[in-house]
Amino acid sequence: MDNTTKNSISKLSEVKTETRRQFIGNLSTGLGALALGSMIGCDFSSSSKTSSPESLYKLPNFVPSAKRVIYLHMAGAPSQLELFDYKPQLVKYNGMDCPKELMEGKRFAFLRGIPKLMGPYVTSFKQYGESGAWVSNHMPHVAEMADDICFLKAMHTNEFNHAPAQLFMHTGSPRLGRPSIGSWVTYGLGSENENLPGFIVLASGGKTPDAGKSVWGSGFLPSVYQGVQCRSQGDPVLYVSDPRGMDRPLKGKVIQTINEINNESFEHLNDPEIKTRIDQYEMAFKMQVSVPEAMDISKEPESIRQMYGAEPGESSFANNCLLARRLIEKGVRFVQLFHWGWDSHGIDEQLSLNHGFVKECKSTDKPIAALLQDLKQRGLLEDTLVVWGGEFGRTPMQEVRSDATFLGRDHHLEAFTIWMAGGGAKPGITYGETDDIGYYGVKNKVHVHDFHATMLHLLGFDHEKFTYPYQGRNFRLTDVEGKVVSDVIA
Amino acid sequence: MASIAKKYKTKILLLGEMIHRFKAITFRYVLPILICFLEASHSAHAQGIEPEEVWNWKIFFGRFHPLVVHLPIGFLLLACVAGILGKYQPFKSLKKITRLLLMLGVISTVLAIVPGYLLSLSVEYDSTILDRHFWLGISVGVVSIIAWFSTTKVETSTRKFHSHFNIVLLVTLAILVMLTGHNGGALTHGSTYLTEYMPDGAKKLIGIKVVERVKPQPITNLNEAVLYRDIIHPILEKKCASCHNATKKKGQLILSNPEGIKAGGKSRKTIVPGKPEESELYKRLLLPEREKKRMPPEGKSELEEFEIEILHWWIKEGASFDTKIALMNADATVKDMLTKFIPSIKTSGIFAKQISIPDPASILRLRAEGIHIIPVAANLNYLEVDFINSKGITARDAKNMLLLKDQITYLKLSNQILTDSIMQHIGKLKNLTRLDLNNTNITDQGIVALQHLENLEYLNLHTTGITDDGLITLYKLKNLKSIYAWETNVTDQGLSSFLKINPSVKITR
Amino acid sequence: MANWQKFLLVIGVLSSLAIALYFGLMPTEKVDFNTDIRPIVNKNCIACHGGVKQNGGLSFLFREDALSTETESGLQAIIPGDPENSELMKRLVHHDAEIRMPLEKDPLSKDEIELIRKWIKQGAEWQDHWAFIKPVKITPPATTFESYVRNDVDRFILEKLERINLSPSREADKETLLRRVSLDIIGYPLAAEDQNVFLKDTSEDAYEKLVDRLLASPQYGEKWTSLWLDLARYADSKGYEKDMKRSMWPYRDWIIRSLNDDMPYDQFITEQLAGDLLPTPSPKQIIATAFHRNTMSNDEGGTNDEEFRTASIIDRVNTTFDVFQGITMGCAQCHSHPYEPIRHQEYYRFMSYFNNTVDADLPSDFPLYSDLYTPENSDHADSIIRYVEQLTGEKYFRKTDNTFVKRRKFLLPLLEAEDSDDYNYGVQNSTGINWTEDGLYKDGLTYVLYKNIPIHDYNSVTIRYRSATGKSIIECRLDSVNGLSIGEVTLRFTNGKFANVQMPLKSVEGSHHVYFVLSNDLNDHHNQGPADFDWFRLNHKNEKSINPPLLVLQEELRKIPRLKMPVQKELPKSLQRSNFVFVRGNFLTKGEAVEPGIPGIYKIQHNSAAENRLGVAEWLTSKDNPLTARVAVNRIWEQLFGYGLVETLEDFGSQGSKPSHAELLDWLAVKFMVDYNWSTKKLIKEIVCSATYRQSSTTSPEALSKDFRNVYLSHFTRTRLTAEQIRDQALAVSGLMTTKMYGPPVMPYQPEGIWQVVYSGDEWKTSSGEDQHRRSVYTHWRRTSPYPSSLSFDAMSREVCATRRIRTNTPLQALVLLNDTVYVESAIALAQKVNSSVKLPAEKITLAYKTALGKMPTAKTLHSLVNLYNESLLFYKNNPTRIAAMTSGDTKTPEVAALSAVSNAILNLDDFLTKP
Repeated sequence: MDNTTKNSISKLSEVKTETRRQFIGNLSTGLGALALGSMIGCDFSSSSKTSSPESLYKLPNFVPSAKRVIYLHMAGAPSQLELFDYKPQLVKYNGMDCPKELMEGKRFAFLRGIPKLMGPYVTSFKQYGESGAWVSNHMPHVAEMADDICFLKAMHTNEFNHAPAQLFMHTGSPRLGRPSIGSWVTYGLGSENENLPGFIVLASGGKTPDAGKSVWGSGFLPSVYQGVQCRSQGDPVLYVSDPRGMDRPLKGKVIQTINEINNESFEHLNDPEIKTRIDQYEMAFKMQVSVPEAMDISKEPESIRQMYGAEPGESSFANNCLLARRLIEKGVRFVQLFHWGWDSHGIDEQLSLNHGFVKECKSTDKPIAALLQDLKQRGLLEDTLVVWGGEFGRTPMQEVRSDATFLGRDHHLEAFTIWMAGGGAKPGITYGETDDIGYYGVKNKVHVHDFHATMLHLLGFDHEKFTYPYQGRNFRLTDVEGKVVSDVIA
Repeated sequence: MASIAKKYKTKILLLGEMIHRFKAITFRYVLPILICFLEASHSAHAQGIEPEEVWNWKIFFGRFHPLVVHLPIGFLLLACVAGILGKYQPFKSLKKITRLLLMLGVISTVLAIVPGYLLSLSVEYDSTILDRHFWLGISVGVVSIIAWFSTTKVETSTRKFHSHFNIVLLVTLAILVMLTGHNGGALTHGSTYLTEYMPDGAKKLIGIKVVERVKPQPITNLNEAVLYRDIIHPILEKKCASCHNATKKKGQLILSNPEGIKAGGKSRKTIVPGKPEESELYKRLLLPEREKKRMPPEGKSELEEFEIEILHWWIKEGASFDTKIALMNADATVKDMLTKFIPSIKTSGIFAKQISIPDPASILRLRAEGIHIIPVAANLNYLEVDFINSKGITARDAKNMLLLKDQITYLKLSNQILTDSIMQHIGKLKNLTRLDLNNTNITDQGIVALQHLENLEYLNLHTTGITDDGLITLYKLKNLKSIYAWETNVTDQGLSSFLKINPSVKITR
Repeated sequence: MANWQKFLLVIGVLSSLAIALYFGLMPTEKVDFNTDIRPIVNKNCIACHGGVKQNGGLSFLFREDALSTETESGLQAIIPGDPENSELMKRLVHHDAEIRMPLEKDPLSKDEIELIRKWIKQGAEWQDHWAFIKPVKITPPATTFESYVRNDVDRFILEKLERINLSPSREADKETLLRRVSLDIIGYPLAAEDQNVFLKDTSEDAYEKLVDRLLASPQYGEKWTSLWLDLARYADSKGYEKDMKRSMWPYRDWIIRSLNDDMPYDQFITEQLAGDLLPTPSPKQIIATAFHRNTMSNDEGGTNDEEFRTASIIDRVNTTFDVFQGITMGCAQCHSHPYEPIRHQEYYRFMSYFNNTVDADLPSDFPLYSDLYTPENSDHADSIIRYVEQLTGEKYFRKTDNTFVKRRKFLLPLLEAEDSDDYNYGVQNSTGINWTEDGLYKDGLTYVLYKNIPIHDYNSVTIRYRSATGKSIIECRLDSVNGLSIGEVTLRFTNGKFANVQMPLKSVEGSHHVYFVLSNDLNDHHNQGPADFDWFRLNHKNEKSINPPLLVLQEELRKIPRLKMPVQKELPKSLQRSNFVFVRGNFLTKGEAVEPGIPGIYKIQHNSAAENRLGVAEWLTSKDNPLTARVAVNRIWEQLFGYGLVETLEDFGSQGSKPSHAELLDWLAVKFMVDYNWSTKKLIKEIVCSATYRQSSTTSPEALSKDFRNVYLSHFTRTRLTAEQIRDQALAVSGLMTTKMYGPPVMPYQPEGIWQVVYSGDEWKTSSGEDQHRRSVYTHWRRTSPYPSSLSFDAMSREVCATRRIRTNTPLQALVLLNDTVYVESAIALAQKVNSSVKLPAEKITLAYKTALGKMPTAKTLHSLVNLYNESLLFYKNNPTRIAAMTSGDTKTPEVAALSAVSNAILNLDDFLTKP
């Protein structure tokens, strides 16, 4: 880094301290703190005295191509073999015994002995767009967007159980207690909109992810950065609505009184924390309006709602996709969607490839395509990174449970498909290949750590420099591994 | 009057006497030495020294120079100190040794000059510094001898003049010794050896030009990159230039610039365009370690496998100094290697350009209005401005932004109410690359203000009232990559006519 | 360049040479490794030459490594006494940037290099990090503020303050002190009448008396338990995917009781780590061992039990160090510790101590302590036993028998699977015992054991079992697994249903230990074990030996559901696991085998200690352990002052922050161990009685400028209350709180739809009656969705040990306090309370304020509150429909509603949320 930039940084940090002094001195406005907050990338937090200077001042290491993220997590792990990873050979091998060596020394959740290979449960697999990406008949709408999508077909992970694998996918560690990607990103880039949390979570499919809220937890990062789950029934954010005994003006008056008295004790005690609390009460008051407003899709024109297939009031993936766009538009940094229902073991109707799986495809295909299309026409896709994927893949072998009429595949960590769109990811390419039956990645394999490194790179962060000091060690999302996959960066 | 004249006469006489003696000594001792030098040099050139040959007396003796040379430095400097201090009472005793020291100095000087000259014949050095060193060396010899005599004189005579003259001589001598020494150092270690790690401030102070170590443009687009400038040169700089540079041209080879490379080293085959296998530059990299000719020599840092490969490819492709990679035929493996040279940090286009630090005051003023304004990256002065939190943009905000017109490169005005005057101001933010005007009341009139934003790459106009007329005013913006015109009155023919003029733009509707 | 410039240069070089010489010849004082060298090394070298990387085969963690000649270059980095030839020095000053160290960084400063040179010259002596050097007794320093000193703690503080020319603050007023110390010791302010006892008491030691009263009250235990629950990662659920409920609460109650009894800290540690290994452990001591059973267990289908068992053991090692040593051991799991001198192998040597517990991440959480009844059941069970005792006298029980033995003797001849004394490879669960598949592939030593059974009375045994595989043989052997076999029967496939089978027994004399040994010839791999057992009924030679009424009672006693809580239990010697290093921390790639051992950095010889958890406890509680006391003292200090003497509670290592008052820390540590003999209450009293603690929290601009973060304690630091304190306080001041203690966790109000449970019937059933207003420590804690309002106040999810809570300050907190039912309820209750006791609105508001904050409002404050009151009053007069929601009971007047709005504001004041 040459001198001028060095200076500029020190200058900017002067600005920081400047603002700090100002807002401590100046009692009339609470915005000083928020301005400072957003500049230093943590709108909501006061500078808790224990937090290190880094945590107060994070900016991208270089110019990011993605400034926002929508992460569509398909909890339960959809089968890549039924969607994107076209394996004509597997059709031939259908019903044959799985080669022994593929089972030896491998760990599966449920498969025992020698299972049989199973051909993909599809009616057709076609190539789409100029890029000629393969997509099955299960996702016709997404197929139409193929030229905007960057498929990673040789993903692999370390975990073959839902909870650890989801944690690994979202925090870079299969154990609990690490910050999620969303927390890292908000910690790094902060939130643009002062009236909304920087990291919002929307769940559908009737169940939160197996690993629970830790998947959007802030781990050892200050709790400010943890994902705020917004709900489609009840309060959109917990405790956001006034008690029945109060209305807005009265609540306003209550907060005003609180702040008057807090100012008084601030004058008396000079404790900066009091100043921050005053700002936070202002923010809370604003959020009570802004969050419900942002979460109200009835404000969208009918045409758009039809495009997504969204129905106000119900808790559906379609609604969440539409919400995701609304929130991104309003400057939310990271929107995390969870959709559960892909764990197609062949146990029952829901968890089978020939029923539940098809249903889930139907309910997600159109909204996803709509989301991409909508972001595109609004000029948002250029700097919004959209990610789609599960926590691992599914085996080319069939898993036979009590009732064989339900087709199923077991968890598989050697190969699965994830795709990205927008945010500087190279559009219309397919990166990585698996072998004839889609068991191993054979070309351009991408490990979860590499994927994280690449995401961070798109967001302007060098995954090796982007760290947080905790318990005497500098922690990173990619732990001690991960390399950026430059071939998928536009 | 007369007395004065007389006084001068005596002075002049004395001066004459001095000069006479000087002549005598010069002719009796110095010239003969010089002459034998010259002969030696003639014969040397006649034979043309081949450093490769096993026994070479000149180089052999020559290399004693650095060894011997420290003696005169020591003696003479000490002599000067003693001589000068000796003038003062407390150090009288020093007087006695001054002369002895000088004598030793003179002798050792001569002993140093001889091999020094011989060494200079193996022409591996920068000639200008070499010459300077040579003549300084000689002058040290000369002055030391004079000083020697003058000191003898001083001991006998009581005249003030002599002692003053003596001091002058000694001081001059000291200075000469240091300069000579320094030049000598410059020859062996390179002229920047001393100052290399001096703080820039100090350098400026003593008037050394501070060499900006200009980093080569980081490669963003391989096809745009020039192989030599962006890849080969950096490698050579990093791994070879420490010895093969303008001042310290080992083996007469300079690798820090194209001329030097073209000129080549002693073996004129440093680069044989198209034939890497015959090019020393490549061959020597492959020699086994400990091999004398092997480059880089032991202890110096190795070249990476792929760096060597790239050099090979470059020579094979004709060792051009200005060809773009795009125009060369690279197979898959080469392509793969090339990617290794793309730096992970992306500072392309406008961001590569250095600009001044933003004015904190204006930043604060904008913040005070609740406007989101942050640097686009930690190490850049460019700013991103977003009005998402503001109660509505005012003329004052626009003016404040003008004070940051160099720095503001992203500007988001979605959902704002924009007066034409505000648009005028925005039209002056010359470094804007991204501009969001979606869901605003912007009109075809307002948009005209943007037609001078040369750097604009992204323009978002969706859900606005603009029409073909407005759109067309932007045709000049050659850097424009994408325009978003969804939910506007832009028509198909509007589009096509725009694209006729400026086909590089992608318009989304 | 021009000659005069060169001249200048040369002169410059010469003069700097002269200076260097001058300094070089100055008399040199001893270089201290810890203060001078270690910081340089840690900052510049450790990253590449430490525990993770040893570039060039060199590491600076241990002296022997740094001095080794086994480096790649073969050159010795440090040659004591000979800096010139030490490669290190050469590299530090090398002119070639590619060879100079630190690589690709600016070279070290001249002074740093000089320091290192001197240090090497002086023999390059290593020194342990301060934290590993055992604290010694020091005499408190003298100070000029003598008049101000209340006890020795102050001397240390004042001595430092003098050094930075700051003077301490005056003592805070009585009200503030009262509020502060109550919040600190019992977690919420005292009731008005108790407050007056102190406020009216004018005697010299009024404050000391107050402190004693507070420490004596049972709420003390409840308050300080919250801290321990974070450390012990206590939760009422198992974590991971299913996150099923489990009853750990007896452990929580154990902590509360131990704290209230002021159990000595060393005993407190020992019982939690190894209570089960103590000679004849009491039920209490067994329950204490649940400490390390708070690790999560993963019931997700198809998980590898060994993987998650290992995860738990690793968690126990890390937690043990986090909690008791303030050293982050986690690093050493994958490689030698990057910063601390702890080797990779040492981690696994230490792990060996914990690696021999029976638990194995089984769905049943086995081993369980099963002799527990829920409060409502225990009386019933006891009464039956007692009745039987009267009924039968000595016939069944001996005096020495504990309830467990009594119970089984009474139930004889019925032997319940879950009442067995021991068994192997078994999984105990609601349906009895079932055997894990792997049991049968090991040594066939699959048995269940009942001790001292008067077997001679019986001639056959009925076994209730189910089997998914059949083909298994069960034998009855005496006194050992392969002892005399007196019966045998084959188990058939029962298709998942329970069935009975009869096994005739050869007659033998006397009482014996009876082993039911299971074996089979299955060799293909099944998901289920071969058999589950419900009970074994011994059939008496002559039936109707037992009189019918007893049979009835037996049936009744059997029916009473018992509570089963996970505890630690050591494997029998024969089955103990062998221990290996895990390469890069991966349990699948085992490295060299290791023996149990304490990391070498602790220079403690404790050969006496057993090579099991008891040994660990002995080592931790040994007075030679440099850290145990320091860490404990520091944690208590942090609770009272907001920041530890070592700010990084979690890290006393070389990367942690240095102690602000090292001497004080050591002094307290020694006092705690020796003088107080590990009594926590005594320690707390000493600290809260110091003048330092009693200071006012008003900050002078001078203090702010000289010591912004108040490290030197020139005044008391205000800190935001913890999640528990905030809720408890609201309940207390509003009079809603109940003082009911102990028992199963409760479920106070929580917004709808927080819990999304698919795998079990678990749901959040809001508790009724007083249980709604219990202290927060009793709130049900579900790891994957903890109590949301606490969470927003930085409570930990308790998935892993949490050594420190960061205090944040967010708008979500404002939303909780403004809108959460709990706080609205409290506001209303407070309003109600004051409404009845005084007349005028202003009085009511004043009283409400005083009740909440223990002090009178300022005129200005009162004025703002009264304004609010008037506006709200107007609002409720105009919107009578809203009144009901802001009042309770029968007084549904706009006045009360308005008062509630005011109280709502009061309960949100910064002063209310902060320790004054």
